[in-house]
Amino acid sequence: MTDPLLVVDGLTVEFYSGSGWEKVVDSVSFTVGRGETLGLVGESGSGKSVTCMALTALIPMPPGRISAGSVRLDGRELVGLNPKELESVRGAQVANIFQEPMTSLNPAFTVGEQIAEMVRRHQKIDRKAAWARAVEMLDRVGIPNPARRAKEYPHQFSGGMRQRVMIAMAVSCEPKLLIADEPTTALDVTIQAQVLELLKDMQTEFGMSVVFITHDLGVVAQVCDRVVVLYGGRVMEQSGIDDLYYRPVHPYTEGLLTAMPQIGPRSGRLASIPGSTPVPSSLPAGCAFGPRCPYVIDECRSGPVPLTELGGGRASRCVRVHDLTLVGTK
Amino acid sequence: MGKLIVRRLLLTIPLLFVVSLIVFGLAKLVPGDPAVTIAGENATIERIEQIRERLGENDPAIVQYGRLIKGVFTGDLGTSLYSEQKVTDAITTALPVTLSLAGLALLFVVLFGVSFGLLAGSRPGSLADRVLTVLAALGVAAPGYWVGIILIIVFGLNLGWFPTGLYVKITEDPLNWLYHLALPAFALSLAGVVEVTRQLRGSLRDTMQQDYVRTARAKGLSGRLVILKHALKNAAIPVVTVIGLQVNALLGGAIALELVFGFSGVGALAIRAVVNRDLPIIQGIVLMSVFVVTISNLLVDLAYGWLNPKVRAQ
Amino acid sequence: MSDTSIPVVPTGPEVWRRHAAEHVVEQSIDESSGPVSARKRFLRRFLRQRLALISLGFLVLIILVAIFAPVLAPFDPDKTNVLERFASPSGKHWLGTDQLGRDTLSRMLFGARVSLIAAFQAVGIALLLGLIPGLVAGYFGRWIDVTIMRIAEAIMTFPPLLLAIAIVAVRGPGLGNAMLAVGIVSAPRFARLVRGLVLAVREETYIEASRSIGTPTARILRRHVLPNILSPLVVQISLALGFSMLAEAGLSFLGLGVRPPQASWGSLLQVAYANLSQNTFQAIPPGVAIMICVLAFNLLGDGLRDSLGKEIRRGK
Repeated sequence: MTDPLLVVDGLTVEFYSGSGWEKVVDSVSFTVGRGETLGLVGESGSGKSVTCMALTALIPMPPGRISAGSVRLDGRELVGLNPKELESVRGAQVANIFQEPMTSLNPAFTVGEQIAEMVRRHQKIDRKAAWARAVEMLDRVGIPNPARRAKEYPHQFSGGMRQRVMIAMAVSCEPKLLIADEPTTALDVTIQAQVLELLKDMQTEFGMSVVFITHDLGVVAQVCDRVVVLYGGRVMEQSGIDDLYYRPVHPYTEGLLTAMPQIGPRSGRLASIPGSTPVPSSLPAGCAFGPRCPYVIDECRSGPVPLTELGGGRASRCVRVHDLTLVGTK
Repeated sequence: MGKLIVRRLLLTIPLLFVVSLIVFGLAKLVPGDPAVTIAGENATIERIEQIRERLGENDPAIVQYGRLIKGVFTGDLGTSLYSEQKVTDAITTALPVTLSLAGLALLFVVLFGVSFGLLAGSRPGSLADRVLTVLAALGVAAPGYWVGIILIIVFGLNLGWFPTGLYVKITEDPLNWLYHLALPAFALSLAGVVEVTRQLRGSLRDTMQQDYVRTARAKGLSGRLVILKHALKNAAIPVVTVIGLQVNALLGGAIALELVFGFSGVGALAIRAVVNRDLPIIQGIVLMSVFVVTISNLLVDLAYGWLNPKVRAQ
Repeated sequence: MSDTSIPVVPTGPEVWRRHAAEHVVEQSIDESSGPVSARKRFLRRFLRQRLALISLGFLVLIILVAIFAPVLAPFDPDKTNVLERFASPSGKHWLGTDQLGRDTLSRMLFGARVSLIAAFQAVGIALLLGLIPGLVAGYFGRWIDVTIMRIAEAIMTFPPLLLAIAIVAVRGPGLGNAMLAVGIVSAPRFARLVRGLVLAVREETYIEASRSIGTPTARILRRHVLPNILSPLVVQISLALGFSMLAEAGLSFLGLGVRPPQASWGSLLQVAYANLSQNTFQAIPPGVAIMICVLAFNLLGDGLRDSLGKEIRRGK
């Protein structure tokens, strides 16, 4: 990719538990182009949230640490920046949206204040101007009666409205990169569509790149240009959106696709991936997905599996990548 | 907000009713006859009866209770059995001393408690946190008046930095007033400082784990702003309750410290009254303290409303 | 270009379905350990709390010292020796002497008896006055509950020391009356605690079962409810002991508790204060002793509370 906005290279994040350091994110690499939406897919516990929080060092540093890797935003290295520098990156260049808008907004302050304080922090404007901008942003995200509602508290908004507020807050300083961590998972399906629509509008309007974290492949299809699939803290597959759905190159992806509820005639019962997500302390020596994979062979268990580049930006961490032709959706 | 105040006041009425019954009941439980005490030795039966009539002791209980309630509203709580002084006067003379002491102690509780709580809570597990935890455990176990005595010994007698007694009125000399109150207020505040520190430390630790703190950091706000603005406002809610409870404890503890430092406040009045079995004074003091506590509870509720907008909306 | 000699690996939804069916059989049922009694878990956790154990050990030591005070005390605590008044701590008098030449260490040892017994007395009264109303309020609910809780709230509105003083004023000074007062002051907290616990336990199935076969209420309360609320109660008792010790010391310090010649640590402090101008050292031992004992009760209570862990949280 020429001139990517974000380059993550070999990022490794560890957490200290009672018995030692455990790798929660293991050597994850990906890039995000300008104006592009990258999907980060995986089950809960796969390390997708931690990866993105680590980009701006938002993970609690004890007990966590970034033990290796580099994160370059527009050429500037973010790993190792001191707190003050990180604070000026957060919000202004990289913004976050989280999954639960009710708990992510401070119940003790008005919605307007929470947006205005961020604007005041990053732009040298006074209180009145910041407040005006807050109202303007609320209007932009489609909140009716923004001037009045800016004086209200989060608990006075509905779930979908709250997420709009979060979006307004996140884009208020026109960041280059927006990290959206499961923004629609907690919302009704009808509201989901509206919020996704809004995100797309904001993205076009501000020319942002988006990293979209989710476990829902249905949503991924609607918004992402490229996808990175994570499992056990490692990248399992990297593909463009079409390739991912029609010609997956990793068994885990195939499993996820199979488990997706499909509209139209169904043959037989839904198949889900048996077993459960591994815990960082109990990852197998070989392929992380091995224990649950229907195609597993001895070679999968022998040692760490390298990421195989397949050209055209595609990659797969599967020993059998060349002998399996996996089936995608229709 | 006004509606909230009215509603809270209405809710306290049944409570105050029970309280007044208890106070009334206490007085009636005294073994012995106050009329006899006043009449003194060698008093004739007629004299005793006379006094009893004057005190209203012969009226049925309901009437006596009614008189008590009426007295609360008219400010007439009877007369001291011992000194013929009006109870209300005796209390109002003594009150400023006690209120100064307890008030300054409360100020210390809030100031030091919040500071230490912030220090310990924003850096859990650090050296400051652990030292404070140990000191806190000691501070709560030490009797306040003993701390006062030790302070007198160290700072008053040995070092001579602080005066060790003699109350100076604020109206006469504010600086000296503060100077003379410093040691006792500090001793009195110790237990309260510990409680507030502990509570704030705990709720700050919880608050810092909340999602909205993560959001605040993600917005690029400075670490200090995140703690002082976002975390603190939410963590303060249970702390306000604790501070409210401290008012109760401070009023009690002030009594002993008044004795230690020789102040003639409500505490000294109370002790004299106990020794003299001077019931009206005791009654008056107890009623007054309930009044103070009720006001402070009301203030606590108001603070809640300000800190937690959800409560306001109800 | 496909070479027919290389076997084509089957892929797709069918493979997954078969895989899932096979895996279901393999699933190991790994559930957390079976029914270990709540009390055993509590004990195990408690034994790991070092501070609480040290406190318990210390308290046991103090109680033993108090019991064996007549044997341990080097001097008769009441024997005066005016020639040796206000002696500084020395090999002969470890803690010096008071204004009448009495050995402070001996007085402290005997004082421990008074202070400890008083504390237990007060808590005993508090339990008596608080346990039954709490049980009744929690179990029967409705207007009984409301009434009892209103009374408890009313008592708690008074500043504790002030209420204690008022009660002593009514009944006259003396250790027994002082401890009655402290007991009354502490009772509402027990009542509230017990009520809350009973409310939580009341809906348990074994209570329902017992009630349905007609077991009399008192029996249900005694056999089913009481044993289950014991643990949180023990926490409160420990903390209340600390509070009562402070309260007794306070009342005795004010001259409203212990009557001479009996001496508790609080009254020793009062005497030391009265003679402060002549000797400052004597004010130290009683206060330190009170502080350490109360600290031990508090740490023990905290340790017990931490050992309760999830149980108590569920109960609330």
